[in-house]
Amino acid sequence: MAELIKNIFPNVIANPIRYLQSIKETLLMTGWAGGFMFVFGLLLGITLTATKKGGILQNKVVFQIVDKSINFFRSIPFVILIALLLNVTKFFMGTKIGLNGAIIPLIFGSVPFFARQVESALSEVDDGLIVAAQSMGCSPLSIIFRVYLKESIAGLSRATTITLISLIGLTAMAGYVGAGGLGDYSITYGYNYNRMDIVWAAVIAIVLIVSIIQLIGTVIAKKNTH
Amino acid sequence: MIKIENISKIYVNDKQRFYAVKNVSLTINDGDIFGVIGFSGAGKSTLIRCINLLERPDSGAVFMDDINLTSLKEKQLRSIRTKIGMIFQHFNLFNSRTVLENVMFPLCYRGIKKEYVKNKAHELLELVDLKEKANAYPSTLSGGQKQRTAIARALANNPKILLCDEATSALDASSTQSVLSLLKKLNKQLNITVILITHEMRVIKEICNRVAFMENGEIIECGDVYDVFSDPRNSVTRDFLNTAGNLPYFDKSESQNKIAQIDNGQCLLQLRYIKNSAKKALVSYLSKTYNVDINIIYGNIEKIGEDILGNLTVTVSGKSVDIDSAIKCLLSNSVKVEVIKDGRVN
Repeated sequence: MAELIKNIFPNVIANPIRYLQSIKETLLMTGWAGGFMFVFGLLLGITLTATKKGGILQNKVVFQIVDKSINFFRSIPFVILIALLLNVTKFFMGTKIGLNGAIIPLIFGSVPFFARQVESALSEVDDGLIVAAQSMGCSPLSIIFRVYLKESIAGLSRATTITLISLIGLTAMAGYVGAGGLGDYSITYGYNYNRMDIVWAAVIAIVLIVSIIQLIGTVIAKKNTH
Repeated sequence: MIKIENISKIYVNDKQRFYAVKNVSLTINDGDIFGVIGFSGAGKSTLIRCINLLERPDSGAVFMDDINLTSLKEKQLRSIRTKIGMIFQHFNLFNSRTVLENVMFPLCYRGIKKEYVKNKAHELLELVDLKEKANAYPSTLSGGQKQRTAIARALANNPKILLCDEATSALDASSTQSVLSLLKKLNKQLNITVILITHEMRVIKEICNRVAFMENGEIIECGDVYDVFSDPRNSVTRDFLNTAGNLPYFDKSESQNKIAQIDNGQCLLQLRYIKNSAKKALVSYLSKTYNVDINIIYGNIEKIGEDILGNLTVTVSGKSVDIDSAIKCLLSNSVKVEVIKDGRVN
C-alpha cells in the first residue's frame, strides 16, 4: 500500500510536511474567514430582511446602504478585491501578506454572498408566522431569533454549506498574498514543475474537505426539517 | 368590551386611494360571539387586524375596556396584545416546533417558570382535545387539528378576547364543525369574547349571537343574528342571505312563474315563522279549524343558534272569510304574513 502511494504520488511523498501544511493553511483560512463570514453575513442578512419594505423594522435608509454595499462588494472579482483591500488588511491585521493578510479579503469576498443567501433563506419564512408572533406580543428582536432564525435553520444550514464551499474556492487564490494553502501548493509546486501528482493530491484533499462540509450541512438541514 | 370608534383605513394602489375600512364603529360586548361577514374584498380582514393594531387605522380609535389602544406606545401595545388571542385562516403554526412547543411559544422567555409553562400547555392541549398529539409536528396534523393547536396557542396567555380571521375557511365541513363547537365551548366555559370574520353564512348561523354585514369597507347592517336574519333591512344584506343559500325570499318578479299561479278564490301568502312559532303544527291546525286548504309551494326552515327561523310560500283556498280568520290566527301566533297575490273576488 505504502509502495503504491509512493509510486502514484512520488513528489508528494518526497515532502509530505509541505502537503499537510497546505491542508492546514486551507483549513485555517476557511475556518477563520468562515467564522467571521457567518457572523457578519447573518447580521447583514437579518438587517436586510428586517429593514426591507414591509419588514418588522422597516427602514429605507439602512436597507439601501446595506443593499448597495453588498452589491458593490459582490461585483468585484476576488483577485481584484485582494488588491483593493490592501490598506484595510494592513490596518486590521498589521500585515498585507501571509495567512493573516488573506483573512480580510476572504471575509469581504464571502460575506456579501452569504448575506444574500441568508436573506433568501429568511424570506422563505411565511409572513403569516411573523403576523402570528406579532399578535402574541413578540418584540422585533424576539421575532428575529424565535421565528426567523429558528424557522429557517435548515435553509441557513444549506446557505452556510454553499458559501463555505465557495469560500474554499477563494482560499485557493490566497496564494497571491503568500497565504499558502492547497491552491498555492498545486500551482507553485505542482503546475510550475509539471508535477501532476501534486495537483491531484491537492484535488483529493479539497474534494474531501468539501464532502465533509456538505455532509454536515445536509445532516443539520435534514434534522431541522419537519 | 371592545369599542371601535369611527375607524378608517386607506390603501394606496397605483396612486389610487381606496378605503379598505370606512368609518366603521362597532361595540362588542363581553361574552359576545360577534361575526363580521361579507364577500371577499369587503375589508373584513383589515377590520379585524385593526382591533389588535396589526394594521393601524388612519383615523378613529379602538378601545379595550376604556384603554385607547391606538394611543399606546409599541411596548404597551405588545403587552396588551398578549390579552388578545388571534387565529388565522392558514393556522400560522411554527413548523420547526412540535404542537406542545407551539402552545408554549407565547409564554417562553417571559420570565415564567418552565414548569408552569409546560403544565399550562398540556392543559390547553387537553382543552382542545389534542393531548395525544403533543409531540407531533404540525406538518403531520390535519387542518382541523392544526387550527385547534392554533387555538390552544392563542389561549396561552388567558386572553379575554379571541380574534378569528377566517378561521374555518380552509377547513372541510367536519373540521369546521369541530372548530366551531370548540369556539362555542371556549365562549361558554372560559367566557372568552370571540370576534370572527368569515364569508360563510353557516359560521354566523351556528355560533354567533351578533353579526355585522360588511361591504366596500362599510358596515351596512349590524344587530342580533336572529333579528338580522329574520328581518334584514338592507337590500345588500337580503341579497347576501339569498345567495348564501339561505332563506329564499319570494321574489316579486317571479309572480308570473308557474308555481305562483293561483286560481280565483285562492291566496298566495308568504309566511315567516319567527322564534318558536315554527314549533307549532300551525298548518294542519288552520286547515282543521278554519276549513281552508293550504298548499305549500316552497319553503325552508333554518336553525339559527338555538332558535328556528322558517319561511314558507303557500296558497290558501277556501271561503274568503275563513282565509281572513286563518291569516289573523297566524298573526296572533307571531307568524309574519305577507299577501303576495289575492285571487279572491271582493
